[in-house]
Amino acid sequence: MANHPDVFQRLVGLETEYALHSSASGGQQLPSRYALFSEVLAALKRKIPCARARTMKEGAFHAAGGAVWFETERPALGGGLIEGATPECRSPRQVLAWQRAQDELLAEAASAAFGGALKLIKNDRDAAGNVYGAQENYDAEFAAGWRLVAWRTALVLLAPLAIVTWIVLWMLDLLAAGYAIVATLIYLTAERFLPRPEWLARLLFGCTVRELATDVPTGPPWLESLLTTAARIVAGPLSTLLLIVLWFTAFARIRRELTPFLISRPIVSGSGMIDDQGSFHLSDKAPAMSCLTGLGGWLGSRPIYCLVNFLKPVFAESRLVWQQYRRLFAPRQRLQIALGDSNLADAAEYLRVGTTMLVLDVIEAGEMPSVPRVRRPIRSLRAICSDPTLAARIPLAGGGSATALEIQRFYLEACRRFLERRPDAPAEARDVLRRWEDVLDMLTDDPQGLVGTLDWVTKQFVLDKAGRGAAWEVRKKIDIRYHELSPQGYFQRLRTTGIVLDILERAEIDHARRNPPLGTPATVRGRYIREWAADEELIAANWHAVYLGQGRECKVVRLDQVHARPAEQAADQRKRSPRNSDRN
Amino acid sequence: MNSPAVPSPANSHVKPAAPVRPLDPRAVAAVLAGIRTDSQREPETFLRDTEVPYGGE
Repeated sequence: MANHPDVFQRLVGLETEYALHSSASGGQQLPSRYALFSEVLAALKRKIPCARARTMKEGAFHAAGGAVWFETERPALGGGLIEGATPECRSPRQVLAWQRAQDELLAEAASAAFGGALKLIKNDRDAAGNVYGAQENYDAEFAAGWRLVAWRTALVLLAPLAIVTWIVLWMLDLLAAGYAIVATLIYLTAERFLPRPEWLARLLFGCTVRELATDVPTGPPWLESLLTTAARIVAGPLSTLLLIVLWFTAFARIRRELTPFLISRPIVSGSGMIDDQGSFHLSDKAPAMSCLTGLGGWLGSRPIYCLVNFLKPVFAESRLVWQQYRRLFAPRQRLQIALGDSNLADAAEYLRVGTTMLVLDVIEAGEMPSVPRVRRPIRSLRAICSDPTLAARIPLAGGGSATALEIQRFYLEACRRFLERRPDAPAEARDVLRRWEDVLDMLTDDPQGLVGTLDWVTKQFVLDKAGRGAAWEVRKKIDIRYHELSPQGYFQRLRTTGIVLDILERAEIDHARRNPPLGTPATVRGRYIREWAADEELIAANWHAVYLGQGRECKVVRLDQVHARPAEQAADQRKRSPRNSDRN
Repeated sequence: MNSPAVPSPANSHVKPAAPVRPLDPRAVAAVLAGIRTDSQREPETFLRDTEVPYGGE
């Protein structure tokens, strides 16, 4: 029987930024983070065919359809992260399988690159309070009606400003290249007259000449700060205007009806965290959220709904590539949710994605009943996360209050009614519903029964049993090493005892380590990469296309059609079928 | 393509209700003891070595 066209049809994917732990550092100076990334990427390429990423970030796509990047956050000052992105998937079980495969591949690559001395940590916050970690991406309805018209009109009106911004940013690139040439000439001229030219090299290049030969230069910190500031000033008018338009148009209905669900979701999918005072919170990342909607790090905020992906095609990623700008006119876009923890527990990750997909399906079908609207959402989120007893009541807009459990049950019932009206919905949707209900029941009656199922419950259990009464540093180490992707990681150690609930079969993860998910853009991308990666110079890829060959010979394989939902693809194929053509 | 015979996850069978897991309390206790010992080994160094300057997105 065909699956219902509005259940688990959307594309979904996860991005994960990994912290690094080098057990061999003991006084030794680590290579730069960029150098670490380069070695990990080289090791990954020995495990799976890869193609150069043709995007603003440096990295590669691999034959399983996903990608690995160097997330450049102030690299000249020692920043930068290794980030993995799953391929586009169509179900939570797929997401879980490809996320686990990615975790394994990258952890093995890190270990292989440095003889077992480098480990990845899949968490969201370090001991100093720096935040990074997980992001979720869902294909979703951007807008309809007047909002879509307003957005498209704004894109047309803003096009001249976008062109000016592109040109000035391009000139900044030229200035940076010019600086590199001038700095090299100054150094070569002055070197012979200076007894210790290293200081001049550090001033001009940010490192010594010897380091230049072994590492890719990031430039001096002062230049990085100058260029970053200049780029933000140049892009300021365009990004401010876009943010204003996006505020009124982007995902308006979804944001309104999804927010209470997301704010209460940490009781299911939070990873748990010890704060600076030693108190336990349900979520690693949630306490860092500063607003509902925003542009993220670009304007120094941490929003739940991050819209920065709408700026990248405008002025960062494309630089006068109209195809990217044109894509912004589409009625469906990528909804990026930054409120979510990196999970180790299968069930937590599966439910985080699965319940969100179900709720989005209900909203887009127009079948969500009037939701319990939360007053002061960010404050309420913090109140929920700081109360592991789950008793915290948060104020609702219409008066009264509710616990996170009550809000989750509201959405559970809405999804149950939605699926009851769709007897041919995928079995996986009912599986998500059943597991969701089981977890909420257990959280109500016996939370300890969820040790090994939910991350925050498991971490709290480990802290109680192995860290009770210990110093903050010891408990914080438990908090962080719980997430280490190695046999020494505390969650991995627990897994050996049978206490952890595995959702996937081993064969599913092994399959996801080598192959892309079917029926998505990743299927096509992954197949081309496997066929062409023997000569890495001849293939490049991004989320929208695969580029084969070089220069004028370059053939572009567009992946946009595969982005469409299977039901839309089928309708499109019916329209193009010969029988239909004859009839027309 | 070297794909093993794994059904499309969206439509595949799904696991039945969470099975009762064969828990070995002694194994859990041993792992917790190991964690207790490891967590007390140079925690400040571990926390410093795992810092992520400037964070991420």
